[in-house]
Amino acid sequence: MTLRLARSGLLRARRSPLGTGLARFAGVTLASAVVGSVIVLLGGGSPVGVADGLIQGSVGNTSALVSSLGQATPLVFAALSFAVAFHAGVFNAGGQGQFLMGAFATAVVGFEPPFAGLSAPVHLLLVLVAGALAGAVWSAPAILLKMWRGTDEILTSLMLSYIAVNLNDWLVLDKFRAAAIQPGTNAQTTVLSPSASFPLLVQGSSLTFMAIIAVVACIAAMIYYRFSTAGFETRLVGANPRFAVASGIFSTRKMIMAMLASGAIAGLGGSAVVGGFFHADITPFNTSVGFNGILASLLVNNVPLLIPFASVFFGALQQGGLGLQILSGQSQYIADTLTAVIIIFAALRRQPHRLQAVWSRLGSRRPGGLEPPASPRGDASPDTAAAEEVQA
Amino acid sequence: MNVLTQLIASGLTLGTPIVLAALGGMFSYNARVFNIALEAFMLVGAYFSVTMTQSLGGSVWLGVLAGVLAGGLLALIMGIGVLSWGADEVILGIAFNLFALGLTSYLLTSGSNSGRGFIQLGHGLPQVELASLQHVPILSGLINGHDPIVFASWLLAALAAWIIYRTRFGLRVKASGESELGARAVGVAVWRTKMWTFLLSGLLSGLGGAELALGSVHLFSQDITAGAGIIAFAAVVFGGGRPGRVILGALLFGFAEAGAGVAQVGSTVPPDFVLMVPYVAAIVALAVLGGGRRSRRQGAA
Amino acid sequence: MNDVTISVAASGQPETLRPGRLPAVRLLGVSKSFGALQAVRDVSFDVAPGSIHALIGENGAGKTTLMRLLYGLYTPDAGTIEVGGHPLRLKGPADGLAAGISMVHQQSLLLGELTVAENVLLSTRGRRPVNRRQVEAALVRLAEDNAIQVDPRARVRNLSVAARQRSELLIALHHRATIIILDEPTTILTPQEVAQLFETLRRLRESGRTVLFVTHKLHEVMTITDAVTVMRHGAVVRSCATRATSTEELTVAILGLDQERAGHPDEQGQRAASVILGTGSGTAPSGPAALAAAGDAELLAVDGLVVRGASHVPRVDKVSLSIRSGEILALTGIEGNGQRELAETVVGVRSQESGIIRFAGTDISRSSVRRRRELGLGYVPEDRMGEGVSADMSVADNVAAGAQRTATLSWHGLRNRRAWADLAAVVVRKYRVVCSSTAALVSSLSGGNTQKIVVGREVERNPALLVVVQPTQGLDIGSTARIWDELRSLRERGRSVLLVSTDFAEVCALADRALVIREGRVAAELTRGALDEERIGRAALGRTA
Repeated sequence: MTLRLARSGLLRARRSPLGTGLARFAGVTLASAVVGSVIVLLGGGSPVGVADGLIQGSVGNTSALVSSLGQATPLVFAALSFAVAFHAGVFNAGGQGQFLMGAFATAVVGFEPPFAGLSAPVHLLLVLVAGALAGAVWSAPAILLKMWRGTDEILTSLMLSYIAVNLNDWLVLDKFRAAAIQPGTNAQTTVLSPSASFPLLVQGSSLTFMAIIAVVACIAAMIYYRFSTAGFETRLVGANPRFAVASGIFSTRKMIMAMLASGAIAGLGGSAVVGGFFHADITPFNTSVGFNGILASLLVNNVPLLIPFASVFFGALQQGGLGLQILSGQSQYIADTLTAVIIIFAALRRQPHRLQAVWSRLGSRRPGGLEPPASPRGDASPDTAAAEEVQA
Repeated sequence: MNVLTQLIASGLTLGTPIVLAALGGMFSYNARVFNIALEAFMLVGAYFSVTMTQSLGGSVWLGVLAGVLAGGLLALIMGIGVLSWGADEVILGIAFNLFALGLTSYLLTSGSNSGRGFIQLGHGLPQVELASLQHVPILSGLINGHDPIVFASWLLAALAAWIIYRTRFGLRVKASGESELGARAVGVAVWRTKMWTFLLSGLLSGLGGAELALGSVHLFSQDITAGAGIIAFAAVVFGGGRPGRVILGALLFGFAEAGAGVAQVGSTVPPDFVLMVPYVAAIVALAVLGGGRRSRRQGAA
Repeated sequence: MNDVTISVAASGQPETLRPGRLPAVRLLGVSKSFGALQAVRDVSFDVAPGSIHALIGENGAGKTTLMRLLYGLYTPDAGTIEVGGHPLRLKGPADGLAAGISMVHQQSLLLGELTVAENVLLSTRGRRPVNRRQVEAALVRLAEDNAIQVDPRARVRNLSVAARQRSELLIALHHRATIIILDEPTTILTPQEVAQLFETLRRLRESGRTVLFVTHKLHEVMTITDAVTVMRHGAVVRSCATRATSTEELTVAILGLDQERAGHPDEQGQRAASVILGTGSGTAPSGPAALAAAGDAELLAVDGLVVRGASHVPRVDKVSLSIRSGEILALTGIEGNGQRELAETVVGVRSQESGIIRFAGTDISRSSVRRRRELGLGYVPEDRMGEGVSADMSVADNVAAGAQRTATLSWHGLRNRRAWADLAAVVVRKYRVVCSSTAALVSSLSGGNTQKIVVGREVERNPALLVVVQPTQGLDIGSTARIWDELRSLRERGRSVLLVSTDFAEVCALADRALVIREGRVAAELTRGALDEERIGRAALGRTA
């Protein structure tokens, strides 16, 4: 069913970095492995050893597996956040910042006096609401500026992420610093009060009920886009905003709502991290989950149902990196690097003309080495484009 | 030293790397390539300039060269990905930024350096220190305390402007950006022209990164650029690809941070807020001026 | 006048010219395909030097591709091209330029950001820094010598369409072109500008240059050319001197009527024929019948509309108009004078600065597009791909767009998938849209089929008023005829159409009334009977009688 979704044009993103096909998958995997090995060698390590360590660290035993899923959970939120905005034609590059603000809000509402006294379910709910709200608020400036001044949301949301990092630093170090923590280690806020602790799926792990919420959110998104009229309208806004306007859709409204939803989802991801891992807001918040989430979503062409899979994959990779560091002392950053490498290869859409000529000379009877005309729309294949041009 | 001089000195120090990267980004912007990976090029430029200085016997200039080339190489790879293999430049840009961060962090914390998290050099680029100017206001801020790259950046800025406005290459860049079909119809080698802009953006950003690392602090730490490349790109968008305005924007953001730093000393405002200033300034500048991307992306490969 | 006879044997192969005269251009067995599409198939013919030679055929016949092959933008898969007796191996337009071949494209490929002179500089080789002044001076001189009015220092984006075309001609002369190819040059010109162009072409011919002229307008061919080659489905079906043939013969050749149904060219073919002939008058319904269809009810009233664009000059300057039910009102004139903006404001995708719009008795001046559609307004935009469809979505999705909230297509906020599929199937069948299935992406469809979807979906909703902007631009004869039929049938059912079209032939064929818009104001109102292309052209340019 998922493949049919992807091919039915449900989420034919304007830019689709990944085509379907086993050959492509194999190619990306192989290329990434090669480049990854080279990098490890540059760092003085052994590729086999690193690979082994990554696997051990991520799926080597039950506890690692659970932790991998725990790592995957915030990624799902970050990825879904990006996808939700993308479908409405908004490029939310600021997930990292919205994530952070969500984490902060979660931590504060988690222990601060007015809220601390509440009973468990209510407190937990409020904590989540705070996280979502903070994320939405942090995403608002980018979309509002886009609507009001036509400013590109990629840059503004990205800037806001960097501002968020500094803001978070200040808030944790200055205003909300937990007194008991000695200087020299990571500073943090006070730990969440028990009434706000997140129910765990597996005792003693970082895997909380947020994992279930994450998956449910993806399913809900799928239902929205596939079955509802409003979802169709949103997709239309993303696919061709001018056409959406001409069709009577309130494009501006839809885009703003989508961005706010996107920010809220990213904020929930921040909540997930606080609830599952740190139980407080810390600085430096040393994770690029927000960006990795964007990559995860791109890997699966922003298809909501496939996001959990990509997230588990990258989550396992992250966990593997951590395990690698703990077990053998090698740098965990190989995980981030590999993640980026995979996306770089997955983002390649077509073969260069000369390579195409080589294939066609090997394969078909047609003469090779042709230079197809440039297409007016970047997405159309050369054949379609040529046909279009000839029609004119 | 009075405040103004201090401001100028600090502004130049902070602003030069941004200006350099912005000059590079300006070329690809004129070719309608939305190249947000300036950050990646700067970061690898900073890293390799420091490490190569270390391993090549302490010559900073070789280190600078290494940084420039590293930036150029990375940009070349990205260019091939976008132009030959049809990847979307924004997606690839984000991926390359993360790649650069991951790669440099990994290399930094692997091998002999593991555990320390930064590389400190004993020395850096030579700094000009003219005794005669020491007490001259403004001028001393402009000249003293800066390394040759700062002055070179002025020349490079003028050179870049001249290239865009007055050479055939500049025309080709603009043509490639406006309409690929139209440019090819007139015999412009679009692919080659756009690759050149990628290369230039990488070389210049690499230089900016080298300047950042070797100029005043003489070290490399994780994510030392911290978004400077993004700010540089914001300056490019702010300036609409026009050299004068791009340089103005880059200097503006650099001076904003410098100004905040100067103002912060002795006040109760936390230092974190100073770091926020360039980003806020960039957002404000973009908001005031617009700078939408969609209307410009027709000719993108 | 050239006294050369180029006759064609039944096989289509050119016979030799008068001894001693090498053809300016000779094509032998030229073929070109793009993937599965064979655009040009075994083409052979000659072009005599110092002549004006027309290349005609329907859209999609391969004319543009052939010319681009000659110019060097494409390379042929097979066959040879000879210029002045020498075979040509072109690897790019630069080679074509060097061989003396220049092309003036249908849609100007001049780069708007640059000035005319800078565009010239772009196409010259060498690494010396730009010497703008030299080029500008040279261009000024050339312009004077050839009586072409162009300012080489003007930025292309500020030039009118006709001025851009003149610039391209000037640039061709600057490149010392001996062979000049023009691709459908008159589609964007008024009759008066066409006359100017023809004058220039005659001068070029007198100076010994060869002009190759791609068009689908037969009356132009008969007026100015020395020889004509007809293409159909990528192949040459006829190549001869203009004197040796007639409009009727050429029509038959273009449409392939002699090959298809011998003796019974169908209705569509006949209508298509009159479209090509550019007369158009044979296709409008007769007078009394047309007037009888128009009711008295005022459907749309626009009062004092002012629409401002990016600059301070208003795009629509206090325009008032009204449309009755059962009539087709055309807004025409030269493109860019505010017709499109007016239509967009009526639809609601653009907002006005002041003025009132009343539709079916309701004031819709501030209403949303959604509300206007609910009241019975339909819209076929000019920019098919940019505003009319979503190319990355399926045919079914595109057919439903605009009506996705209606009771038939949605149920409590959920999509009624069955109804969507049914509606799409209906449209595809009725309008003979060629597509693999209703789930196929619109990007896989041709321009004509895409437009059929747009028009079909709007018409199926039976709008009280359908606003169409340039509906048949770039379409083939078949699609054009179909769309004209739909618009007329709307009128026959008592619906109305606001037609924005700068194709005067189309206006004359369809409209009951036409408003000629010049500089945002109504320059003239022409009613059927007094509606012809000449009058439109004069009013559009501001010259009376």
